[in-house]
Amino acid sequence: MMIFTIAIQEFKSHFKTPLAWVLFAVLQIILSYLYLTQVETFDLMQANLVGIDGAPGLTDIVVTPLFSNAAIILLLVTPLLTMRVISEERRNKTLPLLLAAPLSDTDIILGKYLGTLALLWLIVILIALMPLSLLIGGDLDMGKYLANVLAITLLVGAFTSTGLFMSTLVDHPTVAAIGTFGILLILWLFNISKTMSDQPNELLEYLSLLNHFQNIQTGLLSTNDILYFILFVAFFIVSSIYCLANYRSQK
Amino acid sequence: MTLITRINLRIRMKNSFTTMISIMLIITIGWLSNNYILQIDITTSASNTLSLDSQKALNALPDPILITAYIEKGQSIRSQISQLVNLYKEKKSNLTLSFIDPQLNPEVAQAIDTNSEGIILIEYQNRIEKLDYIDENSLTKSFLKLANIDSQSVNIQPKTNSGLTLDLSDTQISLMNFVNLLILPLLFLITGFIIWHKRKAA
Repeated sequence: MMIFTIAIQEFKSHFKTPLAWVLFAVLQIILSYLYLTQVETFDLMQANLVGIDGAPGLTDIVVTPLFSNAAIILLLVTPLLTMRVISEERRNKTLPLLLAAPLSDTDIILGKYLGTLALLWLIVILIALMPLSLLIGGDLDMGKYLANVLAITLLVGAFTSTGLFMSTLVDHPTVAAIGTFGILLILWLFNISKTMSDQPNELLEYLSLLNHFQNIQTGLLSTNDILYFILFVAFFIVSSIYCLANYRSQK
Repeated sequence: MTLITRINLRIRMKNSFTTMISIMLIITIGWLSNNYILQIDITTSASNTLSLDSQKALNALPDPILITAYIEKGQSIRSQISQLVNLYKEKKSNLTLSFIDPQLNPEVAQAIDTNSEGIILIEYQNRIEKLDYIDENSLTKSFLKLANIDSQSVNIQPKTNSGLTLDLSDTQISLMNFVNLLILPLLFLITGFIIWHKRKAA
């Protein structure tokens, strides 16, 4: 129960600063611009598509690129939202107060994680609503659309857990943000071995965030892709709890 | 050693132990999940499901199949090919796909007479089929040829995707632009400004 109290507190705290609102506005402008450009492209090329066998549909041309772009932009934005979660409490010397409360380390980490994740899921809802306006004049492959929504939902979960871990590890929010961005970018780029090498490294391919994200985007849901994200989150949550417990025992 | 230091040490050891066990568990589940995979295609057009003809063709080839694609590195067609072949791999575990860059292996490329676009070789029981264009139809036909089954009657149509037309009037598009690019961002910015102003006043 205490987890949710912390989560709600954390979620509300994001809206007490203008940062979240400015991010919402910037994301909305960038993503809707990219989305509307894709809609326009589809509008221009649709006459050519009708005659082609197996031609890509509205979902392939508009929805999938929208979610791919959103993933890259969220990779840049998430570190900004997660950098303060624990490190700022440490800098402001309020963390000992939180630790003195009758809460376990797991409560604190999970509460902070869920609070920040709720904010990112709000952004995901904002993105997911955009393509639904196309239903007025066209058909969407709803299965593929839902797969895309699932892919980005799991992806932001992974981003947030990495950000939370870095924020628990270091004192400075900026260092936490850069660290998170670094880890995420490396994990994202592991996928390069897939096209750049004749014998792709299986381990690197498995560790690549982009690889699993793209697999889910195709609409072919696979247990190993979904479990990858769950295990990814579990790994960083466990590591964060370990860091916080270490911090507590040092005090 | 004071009592508190001893207690702290014990807590830290317990923490390290629990974390190690959890991480080992995560790695084990990760390894298992990569070896035992369940898949479900949720697309409306069933674009990730093999047709019955392709499945029958695979059943007719019990021995290992080796697919080698001679395609330059960094080409996006490589991932499209692996995506397609993965659908077959799902039904047949002894099917292997490998890539060779013809630019880096000119002698191999010359020996198999590859064109600039690249070529795909399918090897089964020392017999080889060549393909210069790969999709489900052509790949399944090659499998049927290798299984000595008449492939003429088979014609797998590409899956028809939903939503090939978009019928939006200019007014509707303008409204979408207006709401997405102006109204929503403005709303967020105004709220942010109000909060900033309130904090400043406080």
